[in-house]
Order: sequence, then structure tokens, then C-alpha cells
Amino acid sequence: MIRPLAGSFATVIPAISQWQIGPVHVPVHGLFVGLGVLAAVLVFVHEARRRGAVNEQSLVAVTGALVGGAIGMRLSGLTRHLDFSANPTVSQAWEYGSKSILGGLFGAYVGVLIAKRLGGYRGKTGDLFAPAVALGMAIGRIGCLLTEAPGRPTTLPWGIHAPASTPECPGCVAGLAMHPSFLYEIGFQLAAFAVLMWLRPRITHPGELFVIYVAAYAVFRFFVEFVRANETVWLDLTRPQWVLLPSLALLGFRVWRGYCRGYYRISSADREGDHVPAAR
Amino acid sequence: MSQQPGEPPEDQPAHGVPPGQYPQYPQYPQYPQHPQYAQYGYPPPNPKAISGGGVVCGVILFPVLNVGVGFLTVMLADQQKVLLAFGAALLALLAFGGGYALWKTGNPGSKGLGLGLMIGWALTSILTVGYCTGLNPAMYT
Repeated sequence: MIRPLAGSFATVIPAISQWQIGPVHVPVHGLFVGLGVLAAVLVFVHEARRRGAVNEQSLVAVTGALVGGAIGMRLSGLTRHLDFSANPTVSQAWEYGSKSILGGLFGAYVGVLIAKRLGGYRGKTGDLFAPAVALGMAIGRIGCLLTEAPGRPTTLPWGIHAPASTPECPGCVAGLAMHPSFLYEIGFQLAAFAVLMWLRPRITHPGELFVIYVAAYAVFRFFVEFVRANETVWLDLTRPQWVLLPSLALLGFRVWRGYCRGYYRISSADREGDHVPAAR
Repeated sequence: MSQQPGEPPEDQPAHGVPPGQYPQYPQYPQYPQHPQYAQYGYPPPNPKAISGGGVVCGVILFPVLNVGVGFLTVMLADQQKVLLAFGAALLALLAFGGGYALWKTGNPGSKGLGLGLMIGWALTSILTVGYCTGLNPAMYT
């Protein structure tokens, strides 16, 4: 899949949009997104069973997350430009949505809130989602690594090359080595998954695992955007970074408030035992 | 004060003997009577119960409906792209209109089926990049 480039330490990632398995053409990006969703569902179900939360509320939350995520990733193009007149209409964004991860996450969050409101539920379900989303995104990003522009040019020894046919990739056309930004993100998501699994018996305040994960991802995503191949729009920052700036302020306030209230205090009993906090 | 091996200590009752000094276990409180089933004395049905099998059926049923509606609209549409959009709207209506109506019935199987239809729409949209549910712009070009 990833082969060394002759005469250098850099590696080449073949940007293949489809794999042919017999007579069937399988879209690579869609395949890994599907595998990521499948992994996330399995982790969610396992976590729900562990916490004794296999119930209608969890199902309603999953439904809201999937539907909201599917819609959110398409409608994220609505906020493409600061000049609102330059943005697409709702119908244009719907038809030509950018399939943004940030849009999908935001849509999923809103979808869960709406679904729980419709069902009359008030319990927290975010802790069930946190490790599931981390693992699902780690797998889904493999599809991005194999099909999209890997990152900005670099002279670091682990820079990678991609074919000139890779869409929206000037560095690929110039034959430059680039940051493997999706590998950075896969590493982050796997580390986040491991940390969340370690934290789940220790941080027992409902919903805080999800807050920690989202805050950590927002910080990571803001910094990894400096090596992503996304277009900069103002002050050398990309669109996701401009979206993340106010989000980081809100999340920072939320984490600080949780810290002050002792939500992240790990008690000795929680350290020693395999305490299973119940999802509310 | 000799004690044979296997016998309980003197300050504890022998096996099978009810400890008289222990307080009586409180009786279970009576379940509130459901007006519909009051004459039977049964506890009320659990309004939060949902059938996992119904969810699975809904998730499987939606792609089947999708194939049917998809083929029908593509065959009828030919060059009329508005029919493709109609097909996409019909699929969304089946998933969300039908799904919501089933969810609100109160029957565990129907509730599961309703949520399953909505999950099926979302999974089909994500996994086929919007082709099958008519979200992808390639459907309209």
C-alpha cells in the first residue's frame, strides 16, 4: 500500500479512489468511513452494555447522532465564507456538501440533542460516544490518507509523496514531500481511545469523558491544521481553524468550570477498583 | 465450650434456622395500578421498552425499500431529474415520517422498527456517500 520512494526515505501513498474487487468497484474513502462507523457502533454497544445502558434513550441518541452527522457533514458548506453572500444556499450546500468531519461532529451533537428532546430524555449519553467516535475516526481517516492531499510540503524525514493526480494537491504536482497529516490524526485518535478507556472508570461525572475528548480533539485539530493541505483564508489560518477558535474558547471555559467543580478529581477508590459508572 | 468442626459458632444460628432476632424484610410496595389493567392487578406496561429485533429489522428494511424506490425512480426518471429528487424526498419521508410515526406508537416492536428505519437512512447515506438516498450531486447531473 505505502511503498518507499527510490533514492529517498520518503514514501509514496497511491491516491486510489476505488479498489476493484472482482467485478465490484469499491470506493476507498467510503469503505473506510463505513468500517469506522461499524467500529464506532460496536464500541458504543459494548460500552452501553458495560454501563447497563442498553435502552431506548441510547438508541434514540445513536439515531440522532447518525442522522445529524449525515446531514451536518453536507450542510457544513453553509459557513464556507465570512462574507455570507458568497456562501451557497441551503439547497446548494445540501447537493454539494463538503463532507466535513467537523460538520459531521457538530451535526451529530445537535442531532442527539434534538432526538433526546423529541423522546423526552434528559440523561447524559456523551460518555458512551467518546471512545466510539475516537476509534471510528481513526479508521475513517485511513480513507482520507489513501485518497486526499496528505499535507503541506516538508523537509522532515517522514514526509510522504502522493501522485500528481491527487485532487487539490499542489505539492503532489510539484513532487514535494508532504506532512502525513492524516497519520498524525490517526495516531491522535488511537491515543485518545486508549486514554478514554483508561479514564472511563476514573472520571465518573456523567458526560465529562465526552467533554474531555471533544476539547482535546479541538486543540489537536487546530494545531494539525498548520500542516494540513487546506486552503488558508485569512491571517494564514484555514477555515476549520476559524471555526475552531470560538469553539476552543467555549470548550476551555467548560473544562475550567468542570475542573473547578471537581469533575476530574480521581478518587483513590476509583484508581484501585474497576468501578463501572452507570450512564444516566 | 467445645465446638465440633463444621458447626456454626454458638452466637450464630444454625443453617436452615431463621434468625428470629433479625427484622422482618419489608413487604414490597404495591405497584400503582394502571387504569387499563387495574382489574388484573398487573404492573403497568413499561413505556420505555423497545425491541432490539425491531431496530435490526428497520436497519435491514430501509436498504430494501431504497433499492425498490431507487430502481423505480431511475426507470421512470430517464431525463427528468425532478423525479430523482422526488425519489430522494420519498425515501426521506419513508425513513423519518414513517419512522417517527412508528416510534411514537408505544409498541416496543414498532418503536424499534421506526428508529431502525431512521438509522438505516443515515447508514445508507453515509456508506454510499449519498448515492443511494439521493443526496449525492452526481444523481442530478
